[in-house]
Amino acid sequence: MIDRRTRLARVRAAVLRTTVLATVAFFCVYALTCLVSCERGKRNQSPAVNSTASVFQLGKAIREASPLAPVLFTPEGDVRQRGIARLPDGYLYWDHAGQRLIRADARGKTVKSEPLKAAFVWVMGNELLARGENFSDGEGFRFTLYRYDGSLKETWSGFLDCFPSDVLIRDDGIAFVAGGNRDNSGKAIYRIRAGTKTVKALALPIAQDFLRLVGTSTAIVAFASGREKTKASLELYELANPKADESAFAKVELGGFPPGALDFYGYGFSYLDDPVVPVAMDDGSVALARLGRDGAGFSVVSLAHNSLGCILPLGNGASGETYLYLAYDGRKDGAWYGLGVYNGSACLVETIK
Amino acid sequence: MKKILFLVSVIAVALAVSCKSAVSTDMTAVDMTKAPTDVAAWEAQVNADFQPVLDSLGTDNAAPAMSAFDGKYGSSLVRDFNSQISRQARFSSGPSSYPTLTDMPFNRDGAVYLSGGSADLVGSVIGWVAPKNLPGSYFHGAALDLNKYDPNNLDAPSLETAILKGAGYETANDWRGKVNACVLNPNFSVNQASLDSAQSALDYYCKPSNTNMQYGFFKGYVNIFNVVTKEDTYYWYCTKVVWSIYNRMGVDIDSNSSAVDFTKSGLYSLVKTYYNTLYFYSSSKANNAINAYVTDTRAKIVLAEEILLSPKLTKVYEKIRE
Repeated sequence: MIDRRTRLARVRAAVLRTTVLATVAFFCVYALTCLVSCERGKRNQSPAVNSTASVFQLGKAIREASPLAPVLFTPEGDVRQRGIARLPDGYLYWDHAGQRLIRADARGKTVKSEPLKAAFVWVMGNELLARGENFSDGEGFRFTLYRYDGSLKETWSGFLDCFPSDVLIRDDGIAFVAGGNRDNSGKAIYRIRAGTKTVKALALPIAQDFLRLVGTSTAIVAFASGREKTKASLELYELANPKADESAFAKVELGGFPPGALDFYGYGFSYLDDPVVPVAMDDGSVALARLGRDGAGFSVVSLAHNSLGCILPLGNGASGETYLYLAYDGRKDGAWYGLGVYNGSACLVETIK
Repeated sequence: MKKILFLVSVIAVALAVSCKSAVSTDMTAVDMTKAPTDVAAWEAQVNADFQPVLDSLGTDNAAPAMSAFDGKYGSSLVRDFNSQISRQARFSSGPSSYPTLTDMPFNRDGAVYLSGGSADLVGSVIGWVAPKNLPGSYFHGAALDLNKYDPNNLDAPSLETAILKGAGYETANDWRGKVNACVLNPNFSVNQASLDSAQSALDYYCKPSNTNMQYGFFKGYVNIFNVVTKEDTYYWYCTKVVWSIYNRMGVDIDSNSSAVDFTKSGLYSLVKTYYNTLYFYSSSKANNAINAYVTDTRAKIVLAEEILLSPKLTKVYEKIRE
C-alpha cells in the first residue's frame, strides 16, 4: 500500500511535470506564431515581385512560399510542382503541355520560350534535369542535365533505369537522382556529374517505398519514405563526401525516435544544416524529426508534431529562422493543401485558400 | 520591282503546285450515275484519291483533303467527320480546365483507368478510331503499377500506357486532371506474382535503335485497311497495353460487346465513305464490305469501351464532366 503522503507527492510531481511541458509547448507555439507574424509583416512591407522567397505551383497558379501563400501569377500552359524556380529577376518554368521552357519576368510575363521535350523537368534555380517520355528496354528513361544561362546548355545526358522519387542538384552542378527500377526489384541513387562516369551511389532492395534526399552543406542523407503509414525500420544513409567521384552512401546509426514512430513518410529538408525527416506516427499524423550528429550517426534532436505531411520542401522563411514546406497528406484528404512553417521544434500549418 | 514581282510569282506558283499535289492531281467531279466500265481503273482512281485523306488524318490538311474528296465523289466526309478534323495534333496532351479529381483512388495494383472528353485527347488518332457511344466517351486507357505509386509525389510515373514513340507512363496528377475518367478493378482473384511479371514484361519496351515498333492501330500508321491484331507486338496503343497486361495473366478483358457501336466512330465514317464510293453502283456489295470490315476490326482491336464493358472488371469510380 502506498501511503497518502507518497501518493500526494506523486500527484504534485505529475501536475508540475504537466505544467512545465504545457508551458514549454505554449512558448514554442507562441514563438512560432510570432515568427510567422513577423514574416507576414516583412512581406507586407515589400511587394512580392521583389521577394526572394521560393515559389511553387498549386492548381493553375504560381504562389509564393510566404505566409498565406499569395498567388503571384497564372502561368502559360501546365506547370508541375518542382517545375518552377525563382530567379533574381523573374521565373524559370517548364510548361508540360506546351513542352517548352519559359523565362518569365518578375510579373510572370513570358520573355523567352524555347522547346524542351520531356515527360518531366525538375527546375532548381539555373539547373534542370529532364526525364524523357519513353522507357527503353535494358536502358531506361533518358535523363538530361541542363544549365540555363539565358539559354539551355546540355551538360550531361544518359539512360537510367530509374523511376525518380527525388532529385537533388547541388550548386556545383553534381546531381543525385533517386528512384526505383522498372521491375520494382530495387531502388538506387545515381550520382551524375558532367564529364565523369555515372555512379550508383546506393543500391537497396525495394520495399514499397521511395528514396528521398536531403542535402546539407557537407553531406547528403537518404531515407526511404513508405507508400503506407505502416511499421518499418527507420534507416538512414549518408554520403559524407558528395564531391568525391567514387563515394557511396553508407548506412549510419539513427536513434532517438519515440515508440509511436512508424516509418518515414514524405519529403525531408535541411534546417540550419540539420537534416529534418518526416515520420509517420501511430496516431496517423506525420511529425518532423530534426536530426543531430551523434557520434558517427544521427539521433533525433526534436520532434515537431502535426506537420500534416511534407510533400514539397520550399525553402527558408524570410526571417531565416523558419523553413517553409507544402503540407499535404493524401491519405487523409486528397483535396487539402497547407503551407507549413517549421522552426526547428514545432510546426504551424495554414490552409492554402 | 521586277525582281520582287518575279519572286512573288515564283512563290505563288510553288505554293499552288505544292497545295495541288498534297491533295490530288485531278479532283474534278466524276460521273457516278452508272456503273464503271473498267472496274479496276475506277478502284485504282478511288484508292489514289482516298490516300491523301488517310495521310491527312489528325493534321491541318484533313479538312481540305476531305473536302476535295467530297467535291469529286459527292460524299460527306467533312460533315460526318467534322468533330474529328479539328486542329488537334495527331498526338497532344494537356490539362483540362476542370477541377482536379482529388478523390480518384490509386490503391489497387493493376486497376484500369479509362478517360474521355474532347479536351483531353492523348492522341486524336485513338480519339477518332474509338467508338464513343457510352457515357464518358472513353477512348484512352492505362493500368496502375501500385509499386510505383507514391502518395507523396503525384508526379511519379506510375500508370502504364503507350505514347507516340512507345512505352510510356503517366502520373497520378495526369489522371487527376482528366475530363471524364473511371477506374475499374479486377473482380477476380489476382495472382500478385503473375501481375508483377505481366507489368514488367510487356513486349513493347524496345531499344531506341529498334525501329520494330510503332504507335497505332494500322500497319502504315493510318492505313485503315491494315488493322493490326491485339497479339501483334509491333504496333501498340494505350488500351492494348492494358489488355496485354491482363492477357499475360490469362484473362481477356476485351469484351467485344455488341453494345459498343462502331458506327459511332470516325473510323466508321471513313470506311463507309470509302466503300460507298468504291462500290457506288452496288449497295449490297458496299454494305457487305463495310460489315466485314467492322466485324474484322472489332475482333482485332481492343478499345476503351470494350474494356469498360468487360465482365472481368468492376467500376469503382467514375466522374463524367463533359
